[in-house]
Amino acid sequence: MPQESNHVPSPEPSKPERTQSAHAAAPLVSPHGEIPANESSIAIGKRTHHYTSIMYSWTYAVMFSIIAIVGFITIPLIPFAFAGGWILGHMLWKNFWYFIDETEIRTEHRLFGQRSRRVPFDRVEGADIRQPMSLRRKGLAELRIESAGGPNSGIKIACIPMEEAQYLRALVLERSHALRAKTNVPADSGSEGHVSIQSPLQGLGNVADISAPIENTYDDERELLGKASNTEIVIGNALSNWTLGGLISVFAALPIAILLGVLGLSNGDGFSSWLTFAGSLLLFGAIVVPLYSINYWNFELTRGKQGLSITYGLFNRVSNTIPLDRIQGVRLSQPLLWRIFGRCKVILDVAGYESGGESEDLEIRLWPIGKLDFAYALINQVLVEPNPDQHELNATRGSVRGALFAPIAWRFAWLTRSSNTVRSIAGWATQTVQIAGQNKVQSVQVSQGPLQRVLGLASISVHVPDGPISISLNNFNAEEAMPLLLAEVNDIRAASESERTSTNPPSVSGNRT
Amino acid sequence: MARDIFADLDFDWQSVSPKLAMGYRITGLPRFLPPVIIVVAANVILNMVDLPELASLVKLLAIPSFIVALIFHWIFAGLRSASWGYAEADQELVIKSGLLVRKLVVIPYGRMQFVDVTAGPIATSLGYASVTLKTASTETAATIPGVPVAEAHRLRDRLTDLGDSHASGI
Repeated sequence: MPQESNHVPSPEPSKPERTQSAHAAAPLVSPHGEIPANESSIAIGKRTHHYTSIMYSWTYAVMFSIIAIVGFITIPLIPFAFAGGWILGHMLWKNFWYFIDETEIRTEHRLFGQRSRRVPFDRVEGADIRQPMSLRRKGLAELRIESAGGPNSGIKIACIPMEEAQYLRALVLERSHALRAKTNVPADSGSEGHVSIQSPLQGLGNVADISAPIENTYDDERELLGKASNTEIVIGNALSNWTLGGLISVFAALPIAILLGVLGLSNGDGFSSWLTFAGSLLLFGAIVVPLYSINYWNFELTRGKQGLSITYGLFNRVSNTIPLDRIQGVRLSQPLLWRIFGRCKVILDVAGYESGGESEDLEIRLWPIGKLDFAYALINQVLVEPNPDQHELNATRGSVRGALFAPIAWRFAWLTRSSNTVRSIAGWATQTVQIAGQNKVQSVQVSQGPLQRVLGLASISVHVPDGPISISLNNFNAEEAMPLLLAEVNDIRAASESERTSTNPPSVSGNRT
Repeated sequence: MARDIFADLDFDWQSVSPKLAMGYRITGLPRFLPPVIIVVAANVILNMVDLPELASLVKLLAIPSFIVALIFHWIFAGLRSASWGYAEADQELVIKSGLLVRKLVVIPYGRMQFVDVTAGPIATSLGYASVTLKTASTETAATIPGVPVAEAHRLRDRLTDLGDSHASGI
């Protein structure tokens, strides 16, 4: 769990290493005696690239100028606004450091008081590199370390050379992996905590390499699982439910309008305003929504020893790397028009990555658009399901009596289980299949409201860690409720049991908050 | 009314402190305040505009309905507190609750992140506390209100111990 505190960093808190440029090869000194002072121990605070100050300066200069114009209606204040922005940007850059040692990654803000945030390696959920257009020209990138504990609980290091971001990501992931393995593997296994990654920073010049790739270059066992087609992404986005709504509106309105016109009951005013409405739906669905395709442009999925690596984006390039054991579940969804073409998309549920937490955050897609069987094959790589048949045997569906609450949707509601995963199927306009590992289920709840009691219905929800997935079945036959609950609890027991006895379960002590 | 769907579950159910009923009775009282204020205000205004007949009619209607509402409040608080039950199964904590909406939640001990024991001023004076078991999911509604203080501490220690020995799945 990341902690905001006034914690003072151990190596000379008041003056961290004041090397002017972050990528000068810093002398590596250990803060505690026991850590070997080798290349991979960056225990000294480092600043980001000095371009950070220019970036911040522009942002604040523009912001202050807007305040000057809107708030005070004085153009002559603008030079002062720019000067203020410049100074603030420079100070923000000057007063930010990041630290990495054997157990945690930490950031320090010293401007306007002290703020320190640390993410212990055993809480790391994933590591991302982002490269907006403005940074690409300079060969710089932004590194994010995601941590369990809700949105904005991770660490963000803006503006470091891409090579350094790559190196730090690999270092954090490897240490995180080693630390989690160490708590469970017998002590004599020798290699615990060993870090094999070599720093590229030695001898790195003052200028970052513009051609440095964003893909996880340190994971040498990466194998390509697939590349999505850009055309399919655009077409898929154009065939959303918005477009469908627009189409239906237009075609439903036409016969009615013709009929009314023939009968002389309408002068066409109502029709034209209806057409405007339908047309804007169509415009939004077929033109505006597809523009978002650039977010998932050149989508590429690979799998390696550090987990899944996902790279996408046209202007804003993003590369997520997520350890496989941090994946809580997946959500496969099919809008109505996609179902005709047998296409679907798959979203990953990873603690720490909460969609909607920050506006710039996209949902982590395992696959942006593709055929159903390909999607299930991918899902099987992530949440291994050796017994798909069990889902057909252990299926509970919504009851007809639930039609009172959901006239159409009750037909499509299912909850199916196997000893490894639990699935819920729901929705008719957009059909979604949500799958979670039984070993990730946190609790199970059965509830029955007064009306449900009269109708002999009940609802069940299977709680997984907060994220885009929520598995539940509403309004099924109440008589099935207790057997279903007990069977599910049994599955959770078995899954936890096998996880505890397996060689590499998650850490025991590190999970406590 | 159909029978309780949780009746078949064979657990060693523990009920919560009967004093929780008194707690519900006290904490529920403020909701009577707005209608009382309205009735009193109506009375004062009606008397001011010289309509004493209407004012006494309001009084005549309001006082019995308040008494009836209070009796219902009293009874339902008792039923609500009696609806709580929890059981420490082999590997899970089981909590059932609810009068109108019946709920049963099962939390494997191993999923525990931490256990909270909280008590407000009313709970403290009545000698009970609420025990909350937190998991990695905020959807988990695992709060047991009205556990006698000594039992609450025992439960917390026991849940923490069990949580540590079963830990997995995060």
